Amino acid sequence: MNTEKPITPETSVREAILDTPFKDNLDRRNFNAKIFNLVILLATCLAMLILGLLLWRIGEQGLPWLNWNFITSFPSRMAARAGIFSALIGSACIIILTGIIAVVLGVSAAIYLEEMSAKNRINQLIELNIANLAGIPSLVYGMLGLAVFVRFLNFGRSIMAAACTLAIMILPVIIISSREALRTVPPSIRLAALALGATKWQTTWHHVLPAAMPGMLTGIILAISRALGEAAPLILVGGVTYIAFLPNSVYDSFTTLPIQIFNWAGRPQEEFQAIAAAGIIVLLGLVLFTNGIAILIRARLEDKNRW
Amino acid sequence: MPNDTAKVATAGSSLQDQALLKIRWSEIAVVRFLQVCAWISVLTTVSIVGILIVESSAFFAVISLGSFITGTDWSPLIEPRSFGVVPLIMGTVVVSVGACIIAVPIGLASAIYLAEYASLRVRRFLKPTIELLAGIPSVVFGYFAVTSVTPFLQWFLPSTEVFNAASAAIVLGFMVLPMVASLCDDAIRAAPRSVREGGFALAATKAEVSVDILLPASMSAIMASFILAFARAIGETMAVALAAGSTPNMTLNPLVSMQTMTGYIVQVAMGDIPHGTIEYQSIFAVAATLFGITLSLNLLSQMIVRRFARHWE
Amino acid sequence: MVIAAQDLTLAYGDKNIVKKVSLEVGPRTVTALIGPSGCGKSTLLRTFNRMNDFVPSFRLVDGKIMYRDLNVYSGDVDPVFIRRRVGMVFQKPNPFPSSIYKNITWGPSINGYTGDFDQLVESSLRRAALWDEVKDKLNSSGLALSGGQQQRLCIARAIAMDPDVILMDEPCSALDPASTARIEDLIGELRERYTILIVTHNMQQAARVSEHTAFMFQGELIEHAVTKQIFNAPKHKLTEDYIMGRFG
Repeated sequence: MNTEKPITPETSVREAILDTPFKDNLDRRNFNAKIFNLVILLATCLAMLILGLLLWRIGEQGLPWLNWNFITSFPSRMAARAGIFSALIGSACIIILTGIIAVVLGVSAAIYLEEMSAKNRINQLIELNIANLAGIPSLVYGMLGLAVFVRFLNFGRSIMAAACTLAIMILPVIIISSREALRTVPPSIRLAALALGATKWQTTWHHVLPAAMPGMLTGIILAISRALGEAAPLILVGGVTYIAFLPNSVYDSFTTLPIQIFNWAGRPQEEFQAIAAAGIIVLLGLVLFTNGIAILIRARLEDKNRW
Repeated sequence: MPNDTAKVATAGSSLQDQALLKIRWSEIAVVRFLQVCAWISVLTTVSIVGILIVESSAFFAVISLGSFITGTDWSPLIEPRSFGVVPLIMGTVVVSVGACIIAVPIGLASAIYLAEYASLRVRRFLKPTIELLAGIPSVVFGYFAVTSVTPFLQWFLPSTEVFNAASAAIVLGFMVLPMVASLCDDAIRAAPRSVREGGFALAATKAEVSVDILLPASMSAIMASFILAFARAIGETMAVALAAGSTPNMTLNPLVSMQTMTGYIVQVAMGDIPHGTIEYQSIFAVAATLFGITLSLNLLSQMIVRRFARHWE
Repeated sequence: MVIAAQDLTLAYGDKNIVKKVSLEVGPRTVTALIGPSGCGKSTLLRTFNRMNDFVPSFRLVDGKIMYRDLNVYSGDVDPVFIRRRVGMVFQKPNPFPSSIYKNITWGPSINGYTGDFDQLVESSLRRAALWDEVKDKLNSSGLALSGGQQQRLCIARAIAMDPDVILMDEPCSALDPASTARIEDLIGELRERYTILIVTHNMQQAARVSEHTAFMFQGELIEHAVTKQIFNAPKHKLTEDYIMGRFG
């Protein structure tokens, strides 16, 4: 700092830094930076690697067992003859019902909270409550389903009870993501419609909702795909693993693909583990397909989400 | 005749009034319906809390709360029965801490990579792929744990049991990793460009800016994401039920079978349990414990975010 | 010459932002870069310490940036090394979200400072005319200071690195008149030690603080001369029009 030797404009850089009280540590620091870069890159790759490994292992174990018979057969005590037909139909029925219930309730609640309600204490309480509901383990929703839908409302261990349970479980997620989507709609659209004499609900229904739709759809599809893969709450609600008939009504007993897989995977025999893998391929196909759609919609949105 | 036109005129206007009135009524009805939907979430919370209290109070009428919380022997199905929840909590904590040991460093590192290092194109590919990992059902991870991770562990640690906490913790780690990565990514990206530039202008390398400036600056959100990941791991069920086994165990050794709280509930639910029996009530007592722990963790993370939130200008 | 641009052409993507600019800055002087917004003055400034490296579309099309005898953009030059010697103060005060003390010491500590840190903090803050205001709260957050104080903290942070050159990118544009006056006084004192290059859109400021002024317009350097001459007898019609406030 107290350089006595004058630094003239002609002083070279090397000379100019000679007297400064700084060590030349650039090589070491650049080396550290490279190591750091490598470490975080490897960490990111590790996540990818596990995903790849998982898919590869399951494909390897399950693909030989995956055929048309497997899809269209009922479960059996013999692995070679067992299939996922009833589980697939059960999953389909439950998911459709879940979707209808959760979307109607969730989108409505989101519209109320985002568009209709005043920002008062009570509504803040509801919001806080929803945020916390989203963090409750799925299993606890199963307890709720068991006590309320199976027993109190007397739906029994049925498709209806399962669908209601799953719908309540994904409700917070749908409300939160729908509200986010509604928030991206610029206020000018609302003001324009209101200025034309539309009521709040007309404005929402005709203008805000269509504008928010793609964003909502992403959240809804992701939530439903989560419900599709969920097994824990349904085991509590009473999913059984051996069903050799198709449901006649929503009050029939049920099984689903994840429950069937859980049952097979838990058995010690290798053949059952293998057909579990085959079932997983079907389940993953459905889940990743729906997830993929949602991610695609979102990517599209992010690209052109400029108002 | 003039009289008639007057009548027509009034009739017309009253028609309009009725139409307006109709819109009003339907509007009010719709808003009421929406309001009811919003309140369902409150009803859900109330029901959950109510059910857990009612059913577990029946349990605690038989088993004392003290012996439940401090008891170190959990054998609810075999005589002589004993309902000490500590082994289940122990199993849960071992598995969840193990999951966080994997998810936290890897998730944070990928978040730094995504936020600071990845080009836009790489990011566009990586982010959805990590999200796919989050979309894989729990039961699939459980299967992967049993058929791939456990054999791998047994290969170099032969003392590993068929069902063990370690393999459950490993798959659980990768299940919650996307959440850690995504939340930390958001937090790091929230720091404004000007702060990064301030660092670079002081002759810092990119790594130094990331570690010394951006990480401390977003520390509260990062801590909150760790807590959330821990809470998620505690509540996770199917993978753990498949991989960790169903032997309640008072141990810290992750290579042996351990039962978690969620694992116990599923085990009981898989068998047909008659309503009103002590087993039936015991799963509600365990669920109440689970609920209490995860709710506290969630509230804690919210508090951290709110208290220490950095409001970038 | 301490820093210089030689025949410099810079671009974002395909758009040339700076065109064939040559500019030499001598030691221990204050040089102001003025011109209407979008004329490329900030882009030019940010090439002297390679801060443009972080803009993906940035390209050095042609020409050179020299720091003393070093070609700043040559492949074997580490930008970190350049920034060690060429400091920068930004448009908006950007203290790190940590204590005042840490704000000052962080840069020197990672760069291998061998002296006493307490002394460094005091002398830097004194030179930035901030010591008296913050000496009792060195451990409180830099973000808790007022805007003007934050900017002086950022200047102190740059000084602590013992730089050769300080680049200032409209350092007063986010500040109130009183804080601006303090920073301008400060620049007057700093010129005795450092070579300062300051971008400003405020012509009075340029007239007050600088010895040399360079006027840029649409990416080209129109005129570069002693400040008095630029303001009293500009050679170029465009400069005159800009100085007289006819555009910009």
